[in-house]
Amino acid sequence: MGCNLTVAGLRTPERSRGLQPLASLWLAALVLCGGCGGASEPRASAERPTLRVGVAVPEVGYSSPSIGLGSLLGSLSGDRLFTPDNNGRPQSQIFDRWERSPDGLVWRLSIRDGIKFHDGTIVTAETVEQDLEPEVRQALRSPGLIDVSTITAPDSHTVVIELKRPSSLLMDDLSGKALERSVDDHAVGIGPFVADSVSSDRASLHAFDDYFQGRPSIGRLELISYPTVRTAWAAMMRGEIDSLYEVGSEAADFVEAESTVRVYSFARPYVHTLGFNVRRPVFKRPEVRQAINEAIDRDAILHAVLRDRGRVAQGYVWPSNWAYDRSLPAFVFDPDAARRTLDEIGLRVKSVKGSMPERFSFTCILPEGMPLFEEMSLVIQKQLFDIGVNMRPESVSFADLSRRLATGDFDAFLSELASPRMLGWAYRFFHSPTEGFQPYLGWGYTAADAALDKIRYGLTDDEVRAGVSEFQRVLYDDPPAAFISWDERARAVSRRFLVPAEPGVDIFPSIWRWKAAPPSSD
Amino acid sequence: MRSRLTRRFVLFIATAAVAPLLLYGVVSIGSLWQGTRGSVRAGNLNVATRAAQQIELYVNDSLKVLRAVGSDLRDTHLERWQQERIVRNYVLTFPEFREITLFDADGTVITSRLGRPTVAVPAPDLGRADGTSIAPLTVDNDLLPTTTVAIRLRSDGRTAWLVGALSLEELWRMVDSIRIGEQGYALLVSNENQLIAHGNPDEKRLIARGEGVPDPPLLGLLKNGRDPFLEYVDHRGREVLAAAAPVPSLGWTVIVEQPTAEAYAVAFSLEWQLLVAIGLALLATIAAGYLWGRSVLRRIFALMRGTQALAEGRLNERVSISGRDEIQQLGVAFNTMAERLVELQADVRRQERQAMFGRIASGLAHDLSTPIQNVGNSCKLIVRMWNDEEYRETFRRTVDRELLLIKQMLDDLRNVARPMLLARHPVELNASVADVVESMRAMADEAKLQLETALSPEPLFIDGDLKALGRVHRNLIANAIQATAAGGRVTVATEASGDRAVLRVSDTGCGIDPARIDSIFDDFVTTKHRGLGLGLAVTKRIVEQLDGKVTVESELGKGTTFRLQFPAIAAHAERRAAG
Repeated sequence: MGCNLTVAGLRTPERSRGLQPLASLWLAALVLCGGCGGASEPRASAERPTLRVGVAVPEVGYSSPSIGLGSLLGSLSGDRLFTPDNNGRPQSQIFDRWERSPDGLVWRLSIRDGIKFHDGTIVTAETVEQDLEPEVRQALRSPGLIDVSTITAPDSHTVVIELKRPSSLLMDDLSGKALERSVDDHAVGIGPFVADSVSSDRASLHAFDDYFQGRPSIGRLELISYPTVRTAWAAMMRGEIDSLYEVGSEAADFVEAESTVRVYSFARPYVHTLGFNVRRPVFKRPEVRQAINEAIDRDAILHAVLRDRGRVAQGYVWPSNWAYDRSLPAFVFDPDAARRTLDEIGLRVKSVKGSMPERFSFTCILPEGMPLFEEMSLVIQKQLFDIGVNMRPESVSFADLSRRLATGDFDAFLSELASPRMLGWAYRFFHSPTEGFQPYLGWGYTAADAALDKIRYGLTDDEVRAGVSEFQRVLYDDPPAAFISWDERARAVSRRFLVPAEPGVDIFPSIWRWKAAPPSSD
Repeated sequence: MRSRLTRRFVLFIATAAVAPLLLYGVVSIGSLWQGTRGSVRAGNLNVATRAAQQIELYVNDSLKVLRAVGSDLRDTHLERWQQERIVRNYVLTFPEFREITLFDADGTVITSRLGRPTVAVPAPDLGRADGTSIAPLTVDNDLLPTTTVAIRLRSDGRTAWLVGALSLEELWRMVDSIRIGEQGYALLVSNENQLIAHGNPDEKRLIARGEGVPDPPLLGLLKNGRDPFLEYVDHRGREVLAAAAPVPSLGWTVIVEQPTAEAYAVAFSLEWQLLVAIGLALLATIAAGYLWGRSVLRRIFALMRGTQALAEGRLNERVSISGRDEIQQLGVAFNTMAERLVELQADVRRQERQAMFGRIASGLAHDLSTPIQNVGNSCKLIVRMWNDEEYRETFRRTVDRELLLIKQMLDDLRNVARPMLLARHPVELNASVADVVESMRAMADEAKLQLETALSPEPLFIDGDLKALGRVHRNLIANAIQATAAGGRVTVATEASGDRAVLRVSDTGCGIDPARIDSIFDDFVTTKHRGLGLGLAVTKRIVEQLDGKVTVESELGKGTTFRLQFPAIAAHAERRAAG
């Protein structure tokens, strides 16, 4: 499986996702390749401004700073085959047209003209085929590629993908795929910037003037890694960086008040989740998970922890997805009902030596060094304490978190799950292992398999919609997790740069269009 | 006169109204300036003091929170999970704490945040008598200033520490909430002049940069116990009013800065309003003074013009004075006076006319009676002495002389009414005078006095009329003879004086009374007992018609000299040639 389609962990950046070792290789390849492409020399960057971006490592969820930068590097130096719109429908990117045969088994995709790799090579159907082919041939694949039988390039502009069974998830996976080609074992992308150097805490990029969407107005990018969001903010205050990749909620009001900085907020398709390992005896019973869902006051968490920057979540599916069913019931904060439920199933409060009187207890692992989840876990702990459930938060390194989640070595976890607008990620998180596919989480959840298969094999929108509705229903009736809140993210950019922003839309994908502001507008 | 009066009037208005108003304005604005500035400064100092109290309260409250946690933990024999719950609940409830950690006597963590604690047991020398500790400001991992507060717990004879890390952001929020007007804000400075908090969102970066307050004079004032006010230009080039107040228990200082433009806006506004009010009052005063002065002066000037007109004899001039005051009454009185003057003048003229007619009548009667009587007597005698040839000759001369006298009287009368018609041509003055003197020598002999001439040896030509000049000479010589007693002397002299030809007629007579000498050339004025008094008037008129000038010098009892000057002209022959 190609590194750009393989994602490890719960926090999955939208553009570049990879297991830590693979990501490191990928970065090394990028760095080497940055210096090898003749067409990507920084020849015209001198007169254009340099933008310095501060990235907090925990923001991307990796323990190594270079991996944190790698996440952003991937999105800046690579471009995906498709991009989903806010409703989860694929939008033209590298492919400008696509069609599916009536039986859903053959997809014909047309490549846009004039796209070049950083080394000057023209993107053709053959290069796309060569890039996709290894992904399809891997033993474990993403769900959209499981059913691919062949990929061919009948001409230089057309890629034909034939499936063994119709799959609505094919486009999802292609949307997550960043196109690149391998040159001397180095990956060469097509994105607006080319990496010149990458170190553990800093990456330097220059503009790719032949970028197919237009010549970047920014000449150089300096990506600087910081251990925490707060550290990055302090660095911006010191003038060390021009842009903050993430504005922490505790400092958002200060940053917004600065006249020299502009803050751009957008709803991020990540859901804060308290997930349960249904293999643990106590969580085998859906009533227990329902009771916990009822015991959690999501509004209070949103207010106290997120400072109202976000919105309450009632499920995993992105609420703006085209197939989202709004008619389904949602959990309401009702601790009395939760207590009754637990009483009814025999989980009554009892004294425990050396601990609080409790119905039961469980350990909740969460990523360390992230004050947001620390605070959220304490609030949830307090709320569950009120119904006699003893949740013991345990912060662990991201590596441990990834490992324990993948192996099922946990009672519960508190983190955020990517739900990047399209439906393929629901399959990755919530489907049980099947041929050619291994879910990210080893929590043994199988209740949604049927619903997710309906989504996967749905040939029409109605069939997919029915599958999504059933999936949402299953998450309510037999919840594998308590979905707490949708994240809202804020970026900060110095007013020395003009950012073509649309309300509620992330500004970083359009970074190639940013430019220096006239001095007077600073 | 007019400008002097106007100046005095302006001076009066300036002294009586403008100057006091100006003085009042200066004093008022000065007082307002001092008062409002003092008030603003006191207000800002009050804000700084309150902010300092608030910050002190904030930190002390955090100690209270720790004490509350401590009282929940101390001697309660709680289990560890219960202690953990208490501590974490407090952290959730009080956002001013980033972390609260409970240490045992050995410095081992009993309960803390989820991750590794970021605080430590305070150094022994930092503990205060009340068992609390506030650590000096340090820089945390994010290079932002922070501090910890701690309380010492004694439980079951053992000492434990409860340490809390204060949240800089919450402290900032508190400092941000301190506002002075729209643009004023507070700064929090440590005892080492390090900036801890800055109410201006754009200046927080100074904290992140670890920049301190470069020991501004304001802190010096505060340390020296002087009024902690200062106006200075901040690093952004704005003039600011700053006030400082200490946070005693922490050694920190609160500075409130406000742009002076805003701080003194009310003062400026009040001063401006007062300035405008005084300016308007000044303008009103000047306008009122101008209008009033103009009204008074205009009427006074009208009276002056009327008075001058009266003085110049224009008795028909009247003044129109408006108003109902004394000046208007003065105008009415002036007009009444003018009316009365006209009436008086008319009366005087009527009386003068009547007197003149009387004088003319009596003069004519007197002057004509003698020649007529002489002619009458001669006629009576000629009847009887017709045959006497000698007498007939005498009769003829007598009649001719008397008739000539009558004719001269009539000519004088005629010349009073209208100027004499002159036929001007070069006349040699000496010759003209000598002829007349010779013709009048008999008269002088008859009066038994000596008639002498002292004529210029050079001929003196003037542009004259021989006949008119002869009359002038005769009038003057006749007057001199008549004014000189027997044995006296009449001298007729001529001379050249520059471009003038001068004729002097002097006598050793009785002289003229000085009181009357100025009017001897007026019509019908005479010093003699008989005659119309037209001789000298006609003489003067003729001399002036000939571009000459006549003057008189006289001394009572010694005599009188008439001096006539005529413009001299060139010799007769040359004048002819030129003519």
